Amino acid sequence: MIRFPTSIEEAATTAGSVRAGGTDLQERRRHGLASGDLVDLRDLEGLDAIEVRDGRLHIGALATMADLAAHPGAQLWKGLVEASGGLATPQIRNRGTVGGNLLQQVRCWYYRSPHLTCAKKGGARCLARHGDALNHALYDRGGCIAPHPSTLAVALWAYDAVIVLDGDERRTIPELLGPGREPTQTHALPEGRLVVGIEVPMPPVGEGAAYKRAISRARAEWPLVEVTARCVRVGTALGGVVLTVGAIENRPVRLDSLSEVLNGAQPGAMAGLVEQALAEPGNLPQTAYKLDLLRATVVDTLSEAWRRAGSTG
Amino acid sequence: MAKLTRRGFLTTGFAATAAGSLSTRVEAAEAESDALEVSVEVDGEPKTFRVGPDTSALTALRAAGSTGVKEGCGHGACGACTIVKDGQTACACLLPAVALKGARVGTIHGVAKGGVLHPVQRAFLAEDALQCGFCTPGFVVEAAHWVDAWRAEHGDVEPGRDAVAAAMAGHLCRCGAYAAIYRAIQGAAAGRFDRAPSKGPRADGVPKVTGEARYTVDIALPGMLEGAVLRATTGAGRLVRLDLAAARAVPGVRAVVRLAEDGAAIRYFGQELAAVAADDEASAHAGIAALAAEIEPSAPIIGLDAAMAPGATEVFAKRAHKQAPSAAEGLLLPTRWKEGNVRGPFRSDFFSGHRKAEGRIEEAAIQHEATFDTQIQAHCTLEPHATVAKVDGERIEVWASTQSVTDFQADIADHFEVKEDDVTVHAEFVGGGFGAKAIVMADTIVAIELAREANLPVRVALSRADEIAVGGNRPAQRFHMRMGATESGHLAGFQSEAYADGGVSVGTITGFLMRLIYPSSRKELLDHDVVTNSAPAKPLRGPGGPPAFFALEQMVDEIAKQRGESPFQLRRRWDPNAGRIRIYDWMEGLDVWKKRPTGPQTGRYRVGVGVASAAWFYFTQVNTQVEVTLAGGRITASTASQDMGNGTRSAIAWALADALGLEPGEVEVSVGSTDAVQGPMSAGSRTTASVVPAAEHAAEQIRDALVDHAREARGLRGTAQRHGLQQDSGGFTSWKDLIQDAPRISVVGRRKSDDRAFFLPFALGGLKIGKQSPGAVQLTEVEVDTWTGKVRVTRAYAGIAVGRIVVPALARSQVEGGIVQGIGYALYEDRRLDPHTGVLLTAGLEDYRIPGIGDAPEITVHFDEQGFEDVRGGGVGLAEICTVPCAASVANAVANATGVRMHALPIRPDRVRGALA
Ligand SMILES: Cc1cc2nc3c(=O)[nH]c(=O)nc-3n(C[C@H](O)[C@H](O)[C@H](O)COP(=O)(O)OP(=O)(O)OC[C@H]3O[C@@H](n4cnc5c(N)ncnc54)[C@H](O)[C@@H]3O)c2cc1C
Ligand code: SF4
Ligand code: FES
Ligand code: FES
Repeated sequence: MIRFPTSIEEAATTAGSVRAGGTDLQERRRHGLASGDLVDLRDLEGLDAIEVRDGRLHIGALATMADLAAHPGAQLWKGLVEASGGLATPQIRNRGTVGGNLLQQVRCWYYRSPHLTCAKKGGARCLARHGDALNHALYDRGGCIAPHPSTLAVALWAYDAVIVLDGDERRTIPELLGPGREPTQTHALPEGRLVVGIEVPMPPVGEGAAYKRAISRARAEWPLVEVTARCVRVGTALGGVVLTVGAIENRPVRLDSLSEVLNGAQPGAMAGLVEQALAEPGNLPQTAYKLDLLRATVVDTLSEAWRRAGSTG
Repeated sequence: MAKLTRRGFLTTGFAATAAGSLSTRVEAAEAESDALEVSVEVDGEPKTFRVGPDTSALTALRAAGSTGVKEGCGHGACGACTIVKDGQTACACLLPAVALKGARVGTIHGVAKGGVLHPVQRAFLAEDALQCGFCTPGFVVEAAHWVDAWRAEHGDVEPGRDAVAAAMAGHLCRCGAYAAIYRAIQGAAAGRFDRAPSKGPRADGVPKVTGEARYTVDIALPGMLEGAVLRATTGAGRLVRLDLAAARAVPGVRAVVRLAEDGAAIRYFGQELAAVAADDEASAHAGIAALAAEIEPSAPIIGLDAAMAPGATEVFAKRAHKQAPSAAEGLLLPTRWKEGNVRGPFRSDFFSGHRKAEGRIEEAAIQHEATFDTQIQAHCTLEPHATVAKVDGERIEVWASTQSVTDFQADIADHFEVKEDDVTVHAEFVGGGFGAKAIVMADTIVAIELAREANLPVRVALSRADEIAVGGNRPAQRFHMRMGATESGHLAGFQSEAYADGGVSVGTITGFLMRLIYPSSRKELLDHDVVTNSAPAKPLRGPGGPPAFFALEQMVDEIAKQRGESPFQLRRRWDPNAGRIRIYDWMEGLDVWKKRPTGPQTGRYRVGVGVASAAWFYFTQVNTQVEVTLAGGRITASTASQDMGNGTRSAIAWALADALGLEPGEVEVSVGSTDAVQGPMSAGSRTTASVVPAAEHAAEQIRDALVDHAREARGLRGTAQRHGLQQDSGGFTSWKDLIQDAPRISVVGRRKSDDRAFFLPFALGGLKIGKQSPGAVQLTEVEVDTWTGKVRVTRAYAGIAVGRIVVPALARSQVEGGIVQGIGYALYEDRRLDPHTGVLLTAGLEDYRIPGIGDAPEITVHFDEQGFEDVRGGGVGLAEICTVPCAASVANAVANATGVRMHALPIRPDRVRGALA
């Protein structure tokens, strides 16, 4: 059974899996990882708008990542548009939606195999933890060790974005995704709820921001580590630093204590401070290497943000 | 059911190797009610699709005849399915068909307007930006769309490589045609191809850039059923039970065949257990689910360490060893099982003074010892293995994605015990092979059995996951190497002790390769097969070569380094091959070499330049024939060979054109059917050295006939010259002129033996091995990010010594593609199985990482054409040699950049960081 609701209310009250672009869902349905009735948002109008209004960036849930990356008004949120324009491939960005990006499933190869039942699929154990977890999290915090897949969640958290649900309820990124201790839960949005849009507060004037990822090939590869950085120049020193990181835990991570250390520091001291602050070794046998990638990508991304920042005196 | 072919390998891998399958949890494909109606405009024409909620746009478009839209992966990674929907490109494989409602869709079939090619299509033809052509429709759709937008915004300004790489990031080409794709797209965007001819150097290029080329997966016969194969979903265990009756009872199911008996052992993930043919894909999958395979899993042996551990479970229980299929390209060479999972050693070091090797090394002034590990590489052709079979009594007609229509014909006749004449095999277009499609696999046998049972045509095609699991792979290898050099810098001797993980197959030999180069030393060369619970290996482009030279050439580099001497200088002393020595001279003159960094570097990004050499065999198939017909002023040629992107058609067209003073485009070549005269397999780099001499022999006969024609019809007498008849009276008449009114002539050209004797007087596995050895040297420049461990290949230079180059543009494409594949092997590709269950983990192109366009460096190709004058046709093949030195060359460059040597492939960020730490 498939339904094509034409209003948010109808969509929210129709039972079944929500389908936006389908770039994640269709692959899972083909391999039997998802099934059942479909609520296809094809005929839902007006949810793909992007606009800057009342000092905020408003992004409709059905806006595509390509729309967001290219939107002239959104360029003030450089770390976000760069993330949106740098993930996946051009064709996927043309079709995949920001709502779907936030709520997509993990890419763990155990999860994606139709032949295995891991904890995320309701099985007894996380198969990666004692199997092959080469690209998995740096830190095992319990539960699932697959990195959270959403690049936009990393970037949006750096901007303190608010996710708007049907019925005008609001969630922060950590609230939307939940704590990540329950392996079956990749996000905490209850079945039947709908993401309607995203609101992002305006960054300060003169802020510089950037998004970067560490991968082994040149392009179009899932990140080994991904970072969004924001900062301003306070004289010759760093200020207003915000850093969010993906692919090191099963949820995005925000490095607020590192940011505090960096605020007021000279950019030349950045690498040393980052190395000192990010010192916790990984606790999984195969992914300890990600600590080096984390440090390097944080430094690279923040350096880029710094280069882009205008002086605020 | 298992059956040995003439060449001594198991055709299917079942029965013998299939001893059980895992209780498989195949998802019943939800029955698709085709209840939804979608009106859409496709390439300007209104269409109505009836689809289900999950039907993809790809399925709908292909069913409606737009078969130029290809499926390469089915999960958004390869871009072969790219279409334009309402002004934006999209992957049709992930796009629900219902999303097309009211949409304007553009496919590859609409890129040329009114029969006029788009500048991007002309550019792809002119630059030869394609090989097998299977990825080409996707690239062309994206590139045409992007180039139009680029020119609208920027005018005819040439975009940089980075802009092109970003735009094409959603496309993968397994043949590695990226260097030419850059040239084509940059040139088209700059307006250089607007008026270019609508033909290029490749004889079969046009149907590939327009989407008209029909591959096996595109064949649809009336009444054709869809076949599906039940595969083992665990790496080891026992098949307890299959319910064939239940599968037969599923509506729409027309045939069910069992491929493994109850109780049979399961030895690898993906092993074939049973197959079903049904009216449509959904019913076939329902039939597979109804088989309710019950499997008793056991702990698999994954990888060399597990297999060689003391007390390891034996993959082949007592006396089942003989069931191990061969991964070798030619004959399986005899050796003994040692113990447990190890077979060998096989010695390649006869007449090599192997007994003295160890002593010489120990006495040597410079000694080096190291262990190298290489990973499993999957062939991963973009078109999967696929077969369409039609059976009519004794007659079997097969369309197959194959590297050898004639070997398929013979193997099928053999397997089904029918006459070869009763078997016809077609392969008009083949979407890549690289060695994976040289021998008949289960998909072909199964399609025929199902077609026979159902009495209707049946199609069986592998999914991308199947392809990576069982489609073929290069064994993982471990080499323990020792090498010694004398005070004066001469090679004292070396030892290689190799272990190969070819899954359940055996026959990997690398010692033979190591003796092709550096002859004047004592060598001890031992090879072992180690069987594990993984699908059988197959020859992969230069079988054994990339791993063997990865080990050997790093040893050589290390000795040069320890001596403080240039690797060229050292190799000149060790390597007597004249072709390679000329290449060393060329490379030493390159700026990239002269300005290479010397001495230790300290910055974050370090640049390194590395060199590696390789040698290979010269193979030719001496029973090759080419039939050439002159009729109505036109020359046509045919042979029972195939073109998987290697350029069989083009080689014949260019050779004939050259011999008759025509343009290659004036010769029409047809390959891809057993209806023609005997042609060569497309493997072992033999095509050029086989078809070119045969075509030239045919051309000689055509010229003789034209001389007669000139005398009889025009009263002209004279002597045959290169491009025509030199008349005794002084005039000159070209062959081209004489062809215009000549009567119908049909001749068969043969590939005669060379003047110089072959290496062995008899043919091995259909091949003759020549005494001459093709040579290659690769120089690579890398940049290493020492903070992240990421290695980027920035420039590559290939020197190739294979004699005469018949079609330069295509030869260059082969080499560029070989380098790109070699970079994939060096840096990214790694087929991984779960250590506990043997289940394939890298089951798609997101996780099995082949290089993308952004990973392709700037490539310079240099051909050294001397030295093969005693080979008929003047040259030998290069498809394999060009990829053999690549990984070693990259590794040597990394060592030059960082001062640390990488002993394992792929050279991943974590390994580089680990080595630097
Ligand atoms: C080759 C490749 C590489 C990729 N690389 C990256 C990457 O680097 N980073 C990254 O972040 N992503 C990456 N992706 C994933 C891609 O970004 C997602 O598939 C896409 O964003 C999903 O959007 P969609 O609209 O197609 O979602 P769908 O497939 O339609 O839906 C995804 C999930 O979200 C739910 N959903 C969707 N919209 C809503 C809504 N409005 N309200 C409630 N639930 C909803 C659906 O029910 C479903 O469970 C990659 C994908 C591919 C194929
Ligand atoms: S990491 Fe998560 S998805 Fe992967 S096996 Fe463990 S629980 Fe399953
Ligand atoms: S088939 Fe669609 S992207 Fe590969
Ligand atoms: S030409 Fe690109 S895959 Fe073969």
